[in-house]
Amino acid sequence: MTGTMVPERVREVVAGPATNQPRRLLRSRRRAGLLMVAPALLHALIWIGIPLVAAVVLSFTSYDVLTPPRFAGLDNFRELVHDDVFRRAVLNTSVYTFFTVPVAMTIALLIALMLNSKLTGRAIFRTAIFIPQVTATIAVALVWLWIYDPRSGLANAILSFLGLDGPNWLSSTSWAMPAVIMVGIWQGIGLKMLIYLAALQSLPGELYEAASVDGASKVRQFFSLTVPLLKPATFFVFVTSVIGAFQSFDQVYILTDGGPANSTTMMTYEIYKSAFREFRMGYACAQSLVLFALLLMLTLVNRRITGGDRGSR
Amino acid sequence: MEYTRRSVLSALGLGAFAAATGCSAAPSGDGQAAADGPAEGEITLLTPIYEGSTGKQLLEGKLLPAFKQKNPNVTVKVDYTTYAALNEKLTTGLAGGLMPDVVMLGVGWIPPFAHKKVLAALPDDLGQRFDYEDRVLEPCRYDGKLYALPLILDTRIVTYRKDMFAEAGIKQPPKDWTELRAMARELTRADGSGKLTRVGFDPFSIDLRQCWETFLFANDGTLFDESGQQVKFNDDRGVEALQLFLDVIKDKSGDYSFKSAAGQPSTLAQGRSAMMMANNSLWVQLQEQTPELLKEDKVGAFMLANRVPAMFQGGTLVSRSATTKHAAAAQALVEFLGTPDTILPTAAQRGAVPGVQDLQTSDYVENNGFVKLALGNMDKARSEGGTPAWMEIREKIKTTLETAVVGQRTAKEAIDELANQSKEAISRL
Amino acid sequence: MAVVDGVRRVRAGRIALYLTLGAISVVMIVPFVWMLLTSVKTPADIAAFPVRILPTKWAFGNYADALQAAPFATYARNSFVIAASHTVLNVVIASMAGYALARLRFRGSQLIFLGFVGALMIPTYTKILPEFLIVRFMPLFGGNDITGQGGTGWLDTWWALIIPGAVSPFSVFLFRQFYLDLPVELEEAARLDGLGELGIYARIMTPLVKPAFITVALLTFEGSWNNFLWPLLVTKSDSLRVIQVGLSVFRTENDTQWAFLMAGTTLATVPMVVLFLIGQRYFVQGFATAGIK
Repeated sequence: MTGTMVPERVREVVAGPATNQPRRLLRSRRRAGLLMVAPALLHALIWIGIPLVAAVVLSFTSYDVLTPPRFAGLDNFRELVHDDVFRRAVLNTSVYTFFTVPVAMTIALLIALMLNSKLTGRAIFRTAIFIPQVTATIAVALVWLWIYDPRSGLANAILSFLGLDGPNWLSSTSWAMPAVIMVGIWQGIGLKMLIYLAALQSLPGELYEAASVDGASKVRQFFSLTVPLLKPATFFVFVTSVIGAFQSFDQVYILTDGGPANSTTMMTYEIYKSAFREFRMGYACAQSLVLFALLLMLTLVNRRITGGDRGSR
Repeated sequence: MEYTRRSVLSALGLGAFAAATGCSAAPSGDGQAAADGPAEGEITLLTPIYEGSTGKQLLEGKLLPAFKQKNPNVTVKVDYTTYAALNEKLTTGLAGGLMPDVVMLGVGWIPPFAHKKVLAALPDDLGQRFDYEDRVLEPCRYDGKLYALPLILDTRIVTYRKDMFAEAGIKQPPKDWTELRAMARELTRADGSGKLTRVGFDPFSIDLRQCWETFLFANDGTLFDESGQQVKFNDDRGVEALQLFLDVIKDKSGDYSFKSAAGQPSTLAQGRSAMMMANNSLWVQLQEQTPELLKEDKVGAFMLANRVPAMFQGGTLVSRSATTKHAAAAQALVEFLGTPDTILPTAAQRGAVPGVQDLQTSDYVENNGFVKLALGNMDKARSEGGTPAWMEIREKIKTTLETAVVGQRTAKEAIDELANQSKEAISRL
Repeated sequence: MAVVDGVRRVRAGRIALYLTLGAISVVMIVPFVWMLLTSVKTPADIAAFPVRILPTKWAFGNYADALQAAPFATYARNSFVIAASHTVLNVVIASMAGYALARLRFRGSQLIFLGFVGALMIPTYTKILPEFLIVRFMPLFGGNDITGQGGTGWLDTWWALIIPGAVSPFSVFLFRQFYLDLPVELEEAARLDGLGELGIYARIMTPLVKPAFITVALLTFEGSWNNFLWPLLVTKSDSLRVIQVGLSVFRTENDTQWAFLMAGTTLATVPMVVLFLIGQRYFVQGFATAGIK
């Protein structure tokens, strides 16, 4: 039974359209494709393409907004190499991403599986889990400040109920990062859950019926049907989560201000500070390019390793 | 086909570059618009205060109509923001060549902006219209010229619990840091397991940067020299100021995690600290949250003192753009906003200090203990900034000094590091 | 016997499932509940130490007072207009693009797709200044000449509020992933029936990925409803400001009006929750229940 249960169908389904088609058809498809992608592409070229080009140009200048930019060669990048705080931010961001993305993704998938079943009250559960996503970050982050208060906060109240002595969360260099990570996981679950849920909804049911008739167990179905079929969604969730984690800002801005002693500062937070507090746009653009390059590298490596979303082809 | 695509792309690239370089940014040079001539036209006022309905009512319901009466040909368009987003608002506006005609800035911002010729100098006699302490106008000046008028001020003072002082038999506020530390130890309480329940002294409820500066000033130190080109804080006075925080923590009469939590009243109001560094606006907060403390006269305040008594002074200053098309109108508005008639209700709305000495006898000041203390001692107030590189240095202070507070560096090492960063920032000017 | 055992096992599984979901839900909504409770507390109750979970006096008046603090009716209308436009534009434009990238593979489509993914990687704070400048120098608008000089472009207009957020690469990417999954036979059959590519997209494929549409719609609406910085930067007139800008007045430099902030945020959140409740109803019972029934 090993391979016979699904392969043909699944492979076809996951792989998308076959490619050997008559030429005329290909041409008309190409035209339709370009036409359909054009509005979004044009929009992106203007609103993201131009800023990207501007960032590249500005990264070679010294620009304080108050006076026109001055060409500065590689000065910004040279300074960046010796910037201990930014190095710290790169490290912190990596740690944050390493812990938030896989954990939040796993929890989100499990919750989505549970909430995809026929369940009384599932609307309530779904809403409860999605609520962190819909509440404006500022207000929610302020509530987390209260939760982490070492003396009157909820976190330590629970710990002391369990007989444990809670730490000074946000003012401790060793606990501030875990505290920020927990908020990150908490906040990220709703979105990921929703995408997984939507993906589960779109799975072709006949496959499962066929598999059930064939007597495949639920666990088996999960690993040999659901997981491969969810590959496009997983690729999406993974890539956007990593990007999101690399750009997390609000939590740090409100919870810790990057402190104590830079223990929670992140790349975007440093970029924000350089650009809008220190008025060093050129330097901020150089920092942004580092962030961009790191993300691009990660995404390409990920595509290489997992074959992206076309692994089953 | 190929050709058009390429030209479109290069056009986009050019556009990006034009956008990037802000080709129509503020005209450089010294062509400052003169403020003589009739006050007329439509001007924009960018304000991080007067937010919300009550603020708007005060500004547009009361103050601006009075201005309009005096200057019937000027229309003021108000652009509201908050302090949290003021920088973003200013940065984008400046890059787009749309500096507001009249702008409100924080203390410390005048030198960087005046240095870059974004602000216009005001006639010097505006600094003598009313009874200002010299210290009050200090942050409004750069290079010997007056660039702004103070609207409202905020000071940092030491607040304390009179009931706890009485209980411990302490009669006088501390004269210097030795006394301060001794009192802090005496006033500290811990439970049976040795966990702090009350700290004698809480310097950490206000921003570490402002707090350290207050201590630096009370130690008779300064941040920079007159020209703003030399770092002055890295002598013993600066190191001692930081060391005091470390000592208080070592004594266990203070704790870095023992600070006022967001959404909750100050440690002082909760009885979790006996002395606390605070902004004078704390008075209004106490009035609202724990009025009984004020009614029973349990809260007092004094100025921090070691070598000299000193207060930290922050606040909101009002200035006019160097590139405004309606210079006379803009200047008229700056002058108007700097009058006691505007200052007093604005300060009262926020619990701030109205920086004109004549207002000492106003009801608002008489009835606000902290503001009264502050206004009566403005000659001992000191401001941060003083260098055109302040924007950058300002951001480094807290994060760098914090490394010492959490024990990663000694006070001396942290101050030296900060001095190096500051010198680098100044060298980039 | 076996049947009874099975039933018992199923029931135990159900209970475990409910307990797990219940626990997770509680963790997720605790901050929200705290927000609700704070919104009906008096300043004295908020100030109490040790912390009081429940208010001693329920100050429902906070809601009315908070609404007085700013012209929230105008703000809410503006936020709604912006969020609704973003939602419609995103759903239409991004789904077409996503479909083309997933199903109509043409030369360069891989590159374009990677471009959209790359577009996600530029941080907001890097884009915001150039985007502002594009808006400000928009030729032939707001008194600008053809070179974009002279006026204020799109600043302080609906254009600036709506156009830059009209399509997000995130939505394009998401749609692409969902269209990727669909069986190729459907497409071929439709093509044989003589349907054009646009028809296949609109009539055959799109109905099959309804959950993706609901997801994008919900996320887009929620995202632009909660947006704060961009609307603040590009507007000057109070009549164009949005709800999050209104809420920011409760946090001033020295003080936060907690009860009002929480009341205001609660009111701003309720429409989103309702929208989600409605939206998720279209997520019907799925097929893959994967082990849990």
